Amino acid sequence: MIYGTYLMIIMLAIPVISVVSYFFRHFREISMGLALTTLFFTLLVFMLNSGTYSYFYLNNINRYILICVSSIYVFSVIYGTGYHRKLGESKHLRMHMSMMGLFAFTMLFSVIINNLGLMWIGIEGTTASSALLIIIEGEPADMEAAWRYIIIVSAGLSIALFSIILIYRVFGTLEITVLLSSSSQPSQILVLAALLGIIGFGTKGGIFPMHSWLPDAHGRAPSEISAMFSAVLLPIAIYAIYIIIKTINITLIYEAATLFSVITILFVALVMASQRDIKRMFAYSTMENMALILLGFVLGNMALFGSILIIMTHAFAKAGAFYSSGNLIESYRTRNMISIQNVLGEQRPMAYTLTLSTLAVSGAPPFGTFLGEFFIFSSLYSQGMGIIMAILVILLVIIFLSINYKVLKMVFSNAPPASTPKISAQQIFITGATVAISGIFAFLFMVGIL
Amino acid sequence: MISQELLDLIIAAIILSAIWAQLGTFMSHKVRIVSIQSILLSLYIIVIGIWGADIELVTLGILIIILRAFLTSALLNSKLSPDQFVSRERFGDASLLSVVSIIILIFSFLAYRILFTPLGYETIGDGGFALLFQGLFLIGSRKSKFSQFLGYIEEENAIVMLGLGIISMPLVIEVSVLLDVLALLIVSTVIISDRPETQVFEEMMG
Repeated sequence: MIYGTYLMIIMLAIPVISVVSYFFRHFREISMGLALTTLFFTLLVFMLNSGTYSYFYLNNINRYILICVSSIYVFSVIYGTGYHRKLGESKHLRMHMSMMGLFAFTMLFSVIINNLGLMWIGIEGTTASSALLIIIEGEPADMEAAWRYIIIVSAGLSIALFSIILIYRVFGTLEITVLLSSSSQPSQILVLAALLGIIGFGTKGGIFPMHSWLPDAHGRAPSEISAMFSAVLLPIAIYAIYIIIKTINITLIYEAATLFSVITILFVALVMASQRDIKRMFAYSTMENMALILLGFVLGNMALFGSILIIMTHAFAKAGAFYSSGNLIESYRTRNMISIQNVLGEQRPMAYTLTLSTLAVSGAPPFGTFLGEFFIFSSLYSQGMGIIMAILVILLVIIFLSINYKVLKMVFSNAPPASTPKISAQQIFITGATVAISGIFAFLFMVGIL
Repeated sequence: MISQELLDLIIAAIILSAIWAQLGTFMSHKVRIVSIQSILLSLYIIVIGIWGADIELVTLGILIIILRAFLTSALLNSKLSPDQFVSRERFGDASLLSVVSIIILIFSFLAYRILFTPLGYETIGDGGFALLFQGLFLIGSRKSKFSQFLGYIEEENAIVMLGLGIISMPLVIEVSVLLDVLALLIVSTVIISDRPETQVFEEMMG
């Protein structure tokens, strides 16, 4: 037990230590080395048994989120050193690398802490530590996106804090393990607490109607930060909602969470076809995946396993999609998909990574997202919600066609040679690696490892 | 023995400060009034802390004065122009805003009584609930980033009041929340100083 606690403390301490890389000339190498060390210790934590470790708590959901956080942190740090190579050894880039460490720490802390109040503080801390990461390029639109991110998310999280106060009043504790094992009579206050929790943490998790910061922040942030937001930050907020709905455990709340998920997916289906900005399109795709993860958490059993599969596959695939987008934006100097043409001819590796990652995030077989969606839909059907299942299938098909049509058009369209600048090997390697990893989860499931 | 009327008077003053913050145009005055709001809140906490011999509440009150009333206003003031007319906020119809503010106030008082009756009525909780909506309205109705951040501070003050009315959270969490808000403010000042008003960008539509 003490060994496990020490491992968790070390895992949390290393990204904090990486902040000092700001003061060193070899800040890139130091950041990469410490990110890899964080991943190593996260793997050791992953292998621990479920249970409480002093102030921390490990279960069969958060251990997978931890792995995703540390892996995407490593990939993003390496990708970022290539993506921002033009910034040289500037103060901005040093600050950016330092803040990435703090951002990773706040995410790891939020996932593993065994106290709902401190979890809220960690999630609010992710806002403070990541807002400056959006504005490294310093464009006016970046500033606006960062501001919207701060003010909307913070206002939403205040509502979540109110929910936590109500939970504390009813249960007399905020310890997650105690909350999950305690039972309570359904009451008006608990219903209110759960609804406020879903809306509050849903703001951070990209659940309709408080999602409006999401496409702006994802769209304007540098690609490695968009990847961290989409792949790991949002699932953490959804995990917080999971803790709240499992604590309160009232049928009405399960129905409300299902409704929020369906409306979110409906909203994405309506807006996806009209997207022109490549990164905003993937941001909306994230909303769809988060809604599916929430739905799986609500349904439980096989659907819960489906959610974990989606979390894992989506984390790496969406990181790959954002890295690919970043490479194309760097190459074509535009975010507008109409102006990005003939990717297969101009940037062949990106054509592969973009196509595969898009297929993965939109739930195409044989990726884990497809299996995850299958488990969630099976649960919906077996729990007598066949109509909702049918509606969701139609909506997901619309989203799938919208996103894949736009991507395939970019990849295969004929355009005169534009001699776009080549992307660095480092960026191509990281992008390819994330997409390759996203493909293994379904295989791991098939052979019984996962 | 301190009379309940005195405590209720402090809560009423906090609500009035929120209405004032809605209608004020000079940003330096608005920062000051939200600072006064935080001081009133901390006074309330310190008084009931001393009254109930609760050292945690007294500590919380002192920390709110230091971190939220003085440090926050100092940070915001450092980003404001010394000429108060330069950092004057221009917004639409002041009379409409005041009417909407009052309607929201009445709605929040009623909603609190309906929703929170099972927990027992507390004036501080009722005041907190009203302040929460005033803060949200300030965020939603303004273009000025300063006003929006002041709305957020009001919202955080409201959460402290709601906590006092419903149940006091452990001090470690209350203090962490205060520090979180402060960290957010430091980050926000970087962004606020670039452009003090929110803007519409074509690429951020849709």
